[in-house]
Amino acid sequence: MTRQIKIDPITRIEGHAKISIHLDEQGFVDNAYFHVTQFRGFEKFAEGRPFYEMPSLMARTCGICPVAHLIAGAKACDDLFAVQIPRTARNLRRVMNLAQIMQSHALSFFYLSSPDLLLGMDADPETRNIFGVLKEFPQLGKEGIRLRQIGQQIIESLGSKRIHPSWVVPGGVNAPLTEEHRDEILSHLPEAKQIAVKTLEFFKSRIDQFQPEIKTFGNFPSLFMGLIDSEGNLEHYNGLLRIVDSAGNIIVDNYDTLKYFDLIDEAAEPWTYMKFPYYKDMGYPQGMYRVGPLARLNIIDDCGTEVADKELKEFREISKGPVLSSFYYHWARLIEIIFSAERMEQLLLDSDILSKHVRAHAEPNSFDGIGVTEAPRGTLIHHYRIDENGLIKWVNLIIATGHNNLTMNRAITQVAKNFVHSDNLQEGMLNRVEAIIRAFDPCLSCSTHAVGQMAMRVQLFSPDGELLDELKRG
Amino acid sequence: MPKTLIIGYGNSLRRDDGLGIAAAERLMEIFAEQDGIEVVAATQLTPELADKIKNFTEVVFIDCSVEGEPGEIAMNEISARPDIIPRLEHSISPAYIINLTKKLYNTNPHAIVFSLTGKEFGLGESLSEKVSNQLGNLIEGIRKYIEGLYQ
Amino acid sequence: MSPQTVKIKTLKIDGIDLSARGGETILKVAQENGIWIPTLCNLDGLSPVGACRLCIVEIAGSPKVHPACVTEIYEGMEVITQSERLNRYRRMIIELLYSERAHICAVCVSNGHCELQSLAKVLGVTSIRFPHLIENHRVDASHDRFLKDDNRCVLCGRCVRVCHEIEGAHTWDFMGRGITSMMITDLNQPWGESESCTRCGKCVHVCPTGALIEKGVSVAEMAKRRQFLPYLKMMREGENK
Repeated sequence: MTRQIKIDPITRIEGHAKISIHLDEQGFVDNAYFHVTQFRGFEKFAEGRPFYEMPSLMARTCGICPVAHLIAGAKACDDLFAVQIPRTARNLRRVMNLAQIMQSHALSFFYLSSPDLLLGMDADPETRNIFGVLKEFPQLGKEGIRLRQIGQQIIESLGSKRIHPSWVVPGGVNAPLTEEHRDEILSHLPEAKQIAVKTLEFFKSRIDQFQPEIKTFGNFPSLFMGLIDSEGNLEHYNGLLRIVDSAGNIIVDNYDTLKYFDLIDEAAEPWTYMKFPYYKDMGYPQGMYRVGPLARLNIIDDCGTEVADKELKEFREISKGPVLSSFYYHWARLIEIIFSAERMEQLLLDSDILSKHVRAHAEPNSFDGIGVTEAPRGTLIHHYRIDENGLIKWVNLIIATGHNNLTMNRAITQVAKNFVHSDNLQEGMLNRVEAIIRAFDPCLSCSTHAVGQMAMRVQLFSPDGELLDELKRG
Repeated sequence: MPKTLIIGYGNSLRRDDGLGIAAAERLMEIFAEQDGIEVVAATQLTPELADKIKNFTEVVFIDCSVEGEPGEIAMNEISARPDIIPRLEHSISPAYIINLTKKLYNTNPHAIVFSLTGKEFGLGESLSEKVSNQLGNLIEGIRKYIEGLYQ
Repeated sequence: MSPQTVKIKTLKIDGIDLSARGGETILKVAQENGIWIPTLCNLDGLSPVGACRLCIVEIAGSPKVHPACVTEIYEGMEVITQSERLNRYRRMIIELLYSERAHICAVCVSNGHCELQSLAKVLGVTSIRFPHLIENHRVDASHDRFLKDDNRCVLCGRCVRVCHEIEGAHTWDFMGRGITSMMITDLNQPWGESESCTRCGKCVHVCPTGALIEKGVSVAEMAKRRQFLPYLKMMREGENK
C-alpha cells in the first residue's frame, strides 16, 4: 500500500512536528510516524565563510541550546587546528556544557513532563499542564525556574554575555575565569544539587503508578551510544565513543570520535526530511540506537561523582542489563542534573581552573575538523571541511534528535499500538503518544520561534490513506 | 508609577524572526534614561523570565508573527488564560509566561503583545522589505503606548 | 609656508562664532572645536576624499549639501551640521551601505568594534528600507596573516590611501564602478600572491569594518588600533623636510 503524505510548505520551512498514525484493516495501529523537519539551509549559508565563524553561526541554529552547538563547533575548529587546547580551557568549556545540560534538563522535566508525571496521563487535559501542577505542587515551578536560572547564571558568569556567548573560541576560550566568578558559581551549586536530589526522590516515590507506560514507552531492545571518559565514567565534553547492546555487552569501546563515520551511516525515508542514522555493522534498521540521558547512563561504568553514583546504583536495579524503557529518560535526566552540579563543583575546585593560559593559537593544519560532544539530548557531531585558505567547503551535522529518530519512531508506534484503538483520536491515548516524544525531549529545530510555535498536528489514517481524524495541538 | 518591562524576542539570524530583537535594541536607546522601564532581548521566552516579570506592573512583548499579511502590525491584550501550553516545544508564549508569573508569584502584571507579521525566515540578518518598512511604525507605536502609561 | 601668509577666517558652525586658518576644511575646524560630524571614509592621518558623504553639511546660501571633509572654509561662512534633512540623508547612506553587501554582524569578527555598526546606532538607523543585493562575494583568505571579506566592505578606500600614502606600497586599489566596485590587491591577484604587499597590516587596522582582518581572531574579537596613524604621518613628513 503506497500513500502520499502531504507535507505542507510551512513544514518544509521549519520543523514543527506532525504525527501520523496509520490503521490496518482491523482498525488496529499498523504504524506511526513522527515527522520533523530539520532546517538545513545553513550548510549552504556557511559555504565559503571563514571556519572561525562556524561556532557562532551554529549557536544560532537553536535558541534554546546555543551552548551545545557553540562547543561542538569550537571543538571541530580545534580539530582543524590539529592542536590540544589548554587543560583549563577544556575544563571551562566542560563547565559551560554542564550548565547547559542542567538548564535544558530542568526545562524538560519541570515544564514539559511534570504534568504527565505528577498529575497522571489520564488527568483532565484542561488541568494537565504546568498550571495544574503548580496548583498541587506550588514549589515545583519555582524550583524548575531556580535550576534554569542557576544554569543561565553560570553560562553568563563564564561568557559574560547573555545571548550566544562568543567566549568559546577555536583553540579554547577568550578570557580566563576570575576568582570572583568562580566563587559565585560555586555558591549556587549546592542549591542546584539539593533541588535535583529532592525532585528525584519525589519522582521515584511516584514511579510505580506508571507501570503500563513503562512497559510500552519505547520499551524494546536497541543499542545505546554515547561518550565515556578514559575510565568509563560519564563524560559530556570530550570523550570516546562506546556502544552497548540491549544485553549490556560493550560492542564498541574507546572509539575515537574523529572516526564516527566508520560507525554510523545515515538512511533516508521518503516521508520525512530527517535522516535516520544507524550503526553500520548491524545495518538499517537493525542498527538503531538511542542517545541522550538514558543511553549515557546505560553505557557508563560509573558517573564519577558521589551522589550521582549512589543514584546510578539504584537506577541499575531497574533491570539486569541496560534500562530499556524510554520512560526512564526522565529518571536519567534527574540523575544527570545531580551529576552536573557535582561535576561542576569538582572542576571549579581544580587548582588550575583560574589559569590564565586558556587559548591555543594556531592556523588550520587539517582540512577536516570534527567536534563531538554530549548535548543535553545526546551525542552531537559537527564535521567541517575547509579549503587550503580556511574557508568552509562542506558541513555535516548529526544532532541528538537525529540519532534518536529511528528509536523515537519505533517508540511512537509501540505506544500507538498499545493505546490507540479506534477511528477517532482521544485525549488520553493521544497524550501518551505525545508523552513518549516528551521522554526523548527532541529538538524540533525551532530556530525561528515564530514558526516553531505552530500547532502540532496528529493525523489518523485508514488503510487506504483516508484521513479519519485530525487534531491540532498547542 | 507603573514599572514596565519590554521583551523583544526572536532569532536575529533568521531574518524577520529577529524583528523583536531589533525593536528591543532600538527601544533600549529610546528609554535608556527613563526610570522604571527595562528592555530585554531574548531568543526565546523561557520560564525563568517569570522571575524577572514579577517585579513589573506592565509588560510589553514584541514578536514576529506568521499570521496575516506580511507587514501587518497588531496589538493584542494577553488573555487571562494561557493560550498555548507547550507540549513538546521548548519555547513558550507571552500568555503562558504571564500566567505563570501570576501563579508563581501572586502578582498581576498587565501585558500586551505587539506583533509584526514576517515574510522571510531564511538565514540572514536583513529584514524583508515589508517588515523593514514597518519596523519604524512598530517602534513608534510601542513608544506612544508606553508614554501613554506614564501620563 | 611662512606664518605671515596665513589668513584667519571667521565663520559660524551651528551658530557658534569661530575663527580658523584659511585653507582648513569644515570638518577639521569642527573637530578642533568639539563639534561632531559623522564620518566614515575620513581618518585622521589620511588625505580626505569625500567618498562616503556622511559628513555632509549645509552652508547658508547654497541649496546643496557639502562634504565637510573636503570643503574649505571661507570668510563669513555659516555651516549647519545637524538638521532633519542632513540626518535623513546620512541615515539613507548607512542604509544603502548595509543593503549593498551581506553584513552579518552576529558572526563577524568586528562585531562590537565596527564603525558602520556604531554609526548606524548613533544615527538611529533601525531598519534598511532598500532591498538587499546580497551578492555573495568570495572571501580572499590567501594571505597567510590577513583576510579580505568583500561582503563586509563599504568601499571607503582607507586601505588604498594608507597603503599608498603612508606605507608607499600601493597594493590596494579600486576596480569597477558604482555598485560593482571592488577592492583589489595588485592587478586583482589574490592578496597572498601580491608582490607589492609588505605585510605591514596598516590597511587592516584602518579598515572601519570586518572587511580586512587579522587571521587568528574569533567572532567579535577584532578590535582595531588606529592611534598610530597621525604619529606615523607626522614622523614621515618630518623625514621629507
